Amino acid sequence: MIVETIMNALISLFTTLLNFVNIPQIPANILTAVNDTIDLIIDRSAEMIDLVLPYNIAVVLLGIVIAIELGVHIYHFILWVLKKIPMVGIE
Amino acid sequence: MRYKRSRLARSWLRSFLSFVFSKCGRCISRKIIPFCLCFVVLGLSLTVPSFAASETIYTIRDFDVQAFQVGNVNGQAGQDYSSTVAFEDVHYQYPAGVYTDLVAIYNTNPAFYTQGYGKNEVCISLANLSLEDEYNLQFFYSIMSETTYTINVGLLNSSDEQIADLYNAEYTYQTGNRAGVHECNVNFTLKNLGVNSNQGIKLMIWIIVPSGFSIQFHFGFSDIVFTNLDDDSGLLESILNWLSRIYHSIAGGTDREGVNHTGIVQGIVNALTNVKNAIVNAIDGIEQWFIDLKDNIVDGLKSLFIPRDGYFAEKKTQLETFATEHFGALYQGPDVMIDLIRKLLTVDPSSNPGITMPAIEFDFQGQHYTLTEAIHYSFSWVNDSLHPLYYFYHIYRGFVTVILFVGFGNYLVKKYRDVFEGGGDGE
Repeated sequence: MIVETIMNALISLFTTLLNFVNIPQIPANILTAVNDTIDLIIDRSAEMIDLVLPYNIAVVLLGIVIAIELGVHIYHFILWVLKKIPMVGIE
Repeated sequence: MRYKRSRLARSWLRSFLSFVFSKCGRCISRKIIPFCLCFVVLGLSLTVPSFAASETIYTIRDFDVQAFQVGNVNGQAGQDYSSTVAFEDVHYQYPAGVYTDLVAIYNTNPAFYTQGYGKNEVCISLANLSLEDEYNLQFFYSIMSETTYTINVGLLNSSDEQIADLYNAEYTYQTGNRAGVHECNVNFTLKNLGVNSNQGIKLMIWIIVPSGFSIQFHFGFSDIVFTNLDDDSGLLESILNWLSRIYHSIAGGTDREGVNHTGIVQGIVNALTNVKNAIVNAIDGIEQWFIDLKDNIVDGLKSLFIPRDGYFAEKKTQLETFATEHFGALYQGPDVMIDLIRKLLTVDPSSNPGITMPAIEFDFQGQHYTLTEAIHYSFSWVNDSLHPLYYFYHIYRGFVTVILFVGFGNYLVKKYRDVFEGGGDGE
């Protein structure tokens, strides 16, 4: 009862406050046309790239590079937070 | 003191924003945007998007299905059972392990299935077809009862006379020899079928079960995909309709498709009314709980802390439905991104290396002009060991692979020095 009431109240608040938002769905034919075009772009770009360098290896390495770049930013953010705490003593 | 705190907060905020912008700026300007631009420009240069088709997806529920008994062998007339046609979702398995979701039609009046009468069901009817355009109709179908049936797809004129037969098939469902799910996929152009006027012309699907059967059959249809292969206004029209719906959902009024929207002000008024109702309902619920508690104290106390079975699943569905209905395109964004990333990761270009130069074609004053056909330059020789360049190409690829790994190693060293030693170029 308590959990249900709290959740119902939160959901009611969320749904009623946002009830006036009525963004229509993208029509299916637009979505299909755009998806097909993007698929075609990716296929042909990948074919071109694969002719000059191994696409599958490049994708794996690129994934690792993106992960490292994100990791570095998270690391810098944590450092930035820690520097704001005088007791930690990081300069 | 208050002044000092406020200055400290402002300095922290400035420092944080500067941190975020420096990261974003470096990331976007140096790495992501040039890479994405190269990828898209490369792809676009070899791609001509084809939007010259408008596709409409129906389910059988979108149509006014009609059911008729045909007169029996003694000459007695049958009846119209259209008012008792009903639909249900079926999860059909054929062959074993392959499931198909269909929407089945059946009749709630058992008299419809009386032996001795033929049973006809008109399932879909589409009008307003153009004389010149080429259309495609595609769907899957099946019957879930032991009977013989015929399915027909054809064109009827304004007097309901059949003027063209596009598809017909007869199947028998028997135990141990199941009729299974079949596909209908037909292309047609009215003009090529000898039709000179599109006035009153209808595309129809109907099924016939012979008079010898009294079985109560369910007939299932998948999504019915109807495509105008020559319609080049469909996409533009759809975009305009979509923008019109967005505009009218904010401003109120009737959009291009004739749908009336309440507008944002009325929407806020409705939302506040709903909040008031929700609060009143919550108070009523608590009051009811105390009344129930008096009747059954143990269950009442249990229900105080433990939600009933299926409560969370129900709320999840409710929120998903709400997000789909109200956030529309925004809620579709993450799905599109996930599809894009999945596509990037799963594309396998090495199986068929080549470059396709797009066709140059356009429509002008109702005529379709094709200056050049699409030309595909195949590099299949990279997999042909008899070709003179085969070994040269593979040595080149090996060399490039080594360079990739050396470059990656250099990047790792540079990054390590950058992060932990405060600089360095990895040389």
